[in-house]
Amino acid sequence: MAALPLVPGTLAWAMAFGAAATAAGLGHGWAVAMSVVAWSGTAQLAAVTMVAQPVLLVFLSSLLLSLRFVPMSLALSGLLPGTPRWRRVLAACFLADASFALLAAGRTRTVAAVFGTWLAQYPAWVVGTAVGALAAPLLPGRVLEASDGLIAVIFAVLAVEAALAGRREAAVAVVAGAGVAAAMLVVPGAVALPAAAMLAGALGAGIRR
Amino acid sequence: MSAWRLGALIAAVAAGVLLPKAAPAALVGGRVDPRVARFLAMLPAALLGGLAKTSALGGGPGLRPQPAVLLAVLAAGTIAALTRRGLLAMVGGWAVLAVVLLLS
Repeated sequence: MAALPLVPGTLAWAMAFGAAATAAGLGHGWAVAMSVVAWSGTAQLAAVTMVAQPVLLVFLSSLLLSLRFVPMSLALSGLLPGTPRWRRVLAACFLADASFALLAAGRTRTVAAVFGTWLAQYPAWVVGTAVGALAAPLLPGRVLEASDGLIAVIFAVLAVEAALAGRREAAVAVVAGAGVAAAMLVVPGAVALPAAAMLAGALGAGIRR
Repeated sequence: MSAWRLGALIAAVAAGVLLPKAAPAALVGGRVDPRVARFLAMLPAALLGGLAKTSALGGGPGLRPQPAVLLAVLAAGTIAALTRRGLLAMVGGWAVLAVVLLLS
């Protein structure tokens, strides 16, 4: 149930990807196959602009855009205490930005719940891609803008909930947000987010109560 | 473009996405130094603050905030802080987004 608010944003975002993939010349089946296998909007959108590039460059681009998952994956150790390593690795594979946000805000706290959020998002992602690819000419140009907004609202609410947990958490969230905004003046968000989050986390951990 | 090439492209994207997800979780053991544990405990709040910022500002280089998204995020954040009711805040933010997009 906690993952249900994620479905509209995921659907809209997937439709935008399906439409973009079709516009880039990727067949409908291949667009859906990419969503089935890769399951990452940012990396997939970047990849459809690089279909003519060497495969190694596509891999490096996806890796760079997915660096934000490094601190998320590290944080699983604290968010899922007592969980065997192999189950944490499994949970990490099922993570997306929004499902991590639910976990971090305390809405979910088990590997099964992480799997549950994936179960809500994954079909929406695949079906949305198919709809977007098939209905590309009919979709309004604002689908992407709307999907960005739907997801941004979820993150904002979960960030406020996490910040209300304590002063230190609130300070860390604010510092990370400011750091990301500053870093995005010179580097893309994919680099700014993990760098600023890890710096703010280190600052928060280093300051004595 | 051949099926092999497209298959390799998809595999490359999947590998690039899965590696940073799985590798760090595989490297961190169950017992960690207390200082590392404090750092790991701070990461969720830091990431949430950062994710809220990147999603509101757009993911590319430079700041390109969309007014509709910014207004929706501000409305949702304010409702969440005042009422502490997450679903109400999300619905409120989405309503603001829909209204601004329809009017613009």
